[in-house]
Amino acid sequence: MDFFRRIYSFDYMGHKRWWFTISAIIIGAGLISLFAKGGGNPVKGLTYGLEFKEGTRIAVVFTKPATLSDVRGVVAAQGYPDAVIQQASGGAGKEGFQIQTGTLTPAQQTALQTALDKRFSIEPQSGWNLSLVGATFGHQVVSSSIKAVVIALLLILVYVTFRFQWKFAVGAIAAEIHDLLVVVGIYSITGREVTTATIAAVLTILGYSLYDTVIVFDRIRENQPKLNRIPYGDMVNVSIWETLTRSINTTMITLLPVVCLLLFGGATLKDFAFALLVGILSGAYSSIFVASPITTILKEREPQYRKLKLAARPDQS
Amino acid sequence: MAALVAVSLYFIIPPGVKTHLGLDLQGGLEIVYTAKTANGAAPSPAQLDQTVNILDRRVNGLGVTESAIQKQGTDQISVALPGIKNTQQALNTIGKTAQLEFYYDDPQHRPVGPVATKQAALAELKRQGAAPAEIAQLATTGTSANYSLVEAKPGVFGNNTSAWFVYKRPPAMTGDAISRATAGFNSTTGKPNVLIDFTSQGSQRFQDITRRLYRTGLLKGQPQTFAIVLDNVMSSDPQIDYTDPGLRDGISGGAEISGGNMTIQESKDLALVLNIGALPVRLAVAEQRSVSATLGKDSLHQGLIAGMIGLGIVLVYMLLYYRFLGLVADLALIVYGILLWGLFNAIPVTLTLPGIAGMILTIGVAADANVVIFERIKEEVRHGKTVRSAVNSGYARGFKTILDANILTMLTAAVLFVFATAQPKGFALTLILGVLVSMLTAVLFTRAMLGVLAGFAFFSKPAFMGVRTSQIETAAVDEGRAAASRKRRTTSTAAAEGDAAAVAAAAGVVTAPAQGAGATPGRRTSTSRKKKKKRR
Repeated sequence: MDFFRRIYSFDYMGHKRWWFTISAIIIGAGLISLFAKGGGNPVKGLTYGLEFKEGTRIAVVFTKPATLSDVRGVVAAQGYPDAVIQQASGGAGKEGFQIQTGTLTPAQQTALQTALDKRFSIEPQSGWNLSLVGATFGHQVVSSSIKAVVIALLLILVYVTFRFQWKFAVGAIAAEIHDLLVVVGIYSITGREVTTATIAAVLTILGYSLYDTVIVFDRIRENQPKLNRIPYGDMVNVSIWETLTRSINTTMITLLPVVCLLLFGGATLKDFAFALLVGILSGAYSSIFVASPITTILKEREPQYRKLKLAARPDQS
Repeated sequence: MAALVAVSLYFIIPPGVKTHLGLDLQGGLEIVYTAKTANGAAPSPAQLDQTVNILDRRVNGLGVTESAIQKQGTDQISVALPGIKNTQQALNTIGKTAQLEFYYDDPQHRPVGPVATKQAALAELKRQGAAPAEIAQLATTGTSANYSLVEAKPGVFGNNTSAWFVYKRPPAMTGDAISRATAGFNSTTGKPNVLIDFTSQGSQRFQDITRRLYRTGLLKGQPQTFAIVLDNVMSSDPQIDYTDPGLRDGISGGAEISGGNMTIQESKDLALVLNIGALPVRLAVAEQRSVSATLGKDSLHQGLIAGMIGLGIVLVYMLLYYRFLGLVADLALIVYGILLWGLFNAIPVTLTLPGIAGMILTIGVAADANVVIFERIKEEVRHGKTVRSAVNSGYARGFKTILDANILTMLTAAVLFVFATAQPKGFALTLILGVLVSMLTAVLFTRAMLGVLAGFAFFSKPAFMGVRTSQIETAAVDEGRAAASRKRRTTSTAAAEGDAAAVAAAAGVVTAPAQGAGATPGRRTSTSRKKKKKRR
């Protein structure tokens, strides 16, 4: 319980360097992983899903017994010796496989389906699930996502500047970029597949991770005129303590359903949930440990606040 | 409010029937096509519109209900076919350009062929001096400004081998001349075929072609042929028998496409696309996703179970943490759920898997709104306000915070909606609607409930606010306040012990509610602070 008391009276702004170090370590680890796994090219340091590659992915369920090498043989005989084939769950008494090949034309799809059906009997109800991505699609997803991120950040910058002040906006954007880097880094470290679902979740995090930041900023804005005799950092500390319960509860309440999604959802939902989980945690952290300190640093450069700071700490000029 | 809930319930009941499910949840086929003109350029908006129109008619011809065909960006079209069984048939029929062309087979019109491979055909054309750019174009799209690369499948031209040709454009005649195509059977072979009737203009043109072939045949003493080519594949190569005087004036009636070994289904599908007409563009599959009905049902169940459990946990959490206020929040959350579901059915929004994820996330967002308001109210109560005025000012201030936070969430969701491709779009839309409905619930429901409750005597006890239950947290602040007041009495003690932050806390908490009295303690606090910093 002592810990819980301490967090409501801790000098958050006095330990900026600690928080920046922690963030730097996490982001640094992510960047190292990105560069190491990508062989010097950070873009290649992530495992991309089918959406970003050219090719066809088929989830197939057979009713007749089939081994990996049997399936590989049939697929190779159809002219795809390079196909990546993995065993997957197929349900009771059935064999499930995932087959990945280059882009197949409709005619090629039919031929492959017929050949596999003849040999292993494809389960008629749900045995054939195919997704195909052409060469240009991945590029489109990436370029439209980057566009979306940049525009979203600009809009946030404008809105926060409009509602608060540009110094707050800089803090908020720093927190956003922090969250993005953390999520990307964690995806690289864990080697999780990046899908369009991941990208959607990451973009959502951009909006949602500001929730806690706005709660703290709102309180800072409110306290600013009232607590104008103590250093700015102390005032921010007070604002954080006052809003801490709120931040913890909103984070918990959003995390709970997301964790349920991660535990009970299907594959696509799990993708969303994992990115959201990392992003929400990072967003909660960054509102207190990134956005607030950066705004404080900027604000403490203003003459009135510098005077207050110097008055409180005359030894630090 | 009650009316809104009633309307929503009307749209929900009976559950499951009125909700539009996306392809990923009910199974079906989704294709995204990239459109290019025959010589590889980007399509014009008019061409894209025309393509959507033709695709729509083709899909209807296949008997698929509830299909959705949409433009996506400037050169893409997405086709969603829910619940379709025969995906291969659909794929083969929908995306077909269906450009029917008639070519003369003489050397002047057919510079290359028959040769055995595509490479050989292109090499021969190169030898004849065609521009390299045109050859490269032919290799990728099969059609260039002056030439068409045509393949004849085994059984059409040769017996058991394919043959390749290059024809000179423009063709002698195109599919525009068709008035009607009918699937039928060849009278001699009994194989499925498609019979073409021409328009009056087309009929004349066809008669000209066949008459000319008859005469050339008569002159050379050798039967002449012409090629019927469908999407760069030769479907037949009929002969005009110059020994038959009946053909002296050419053929005026119609033509037959036999195309090797068509199945009955294929002949019907071909007749369908020929009747509707050729696409003004060529379509390449950019993305294709087929989901079986069972897989969709499984995903739906998993999503619903995850959502229900998530909702349940949030309800319990709110109740445990905020006690009576938690009950208000829980009711608000249930109302929120009903409104959102009703809205989804009423618009109707197609529910997809990413949409479910968005919905589950908004459960959190909706509950957050209540947390922010309640914490604010508790704070006001702690500052000594009566419950009634705390509810009013707490709600007003809390809502302002929520508004800022939610607008930011919606801004990014809107960006996502505008820029993202199909799948994340559903997620963004759900998020936007969810945030809007959650604000509506906060304004209409939570506020009204609190207003009504504030009128009851039992409600005015701070304990109902859950203020007592959160003593662990308030204790820290209270303690800080207490310690600070202690320190204010003896400034030297403050300098000697305690956390610097606690002093600042005291300053904050004490000065905030009591502005008038704040001046003196405030200054003293900063004095104590100054001394303490020296210690560091």
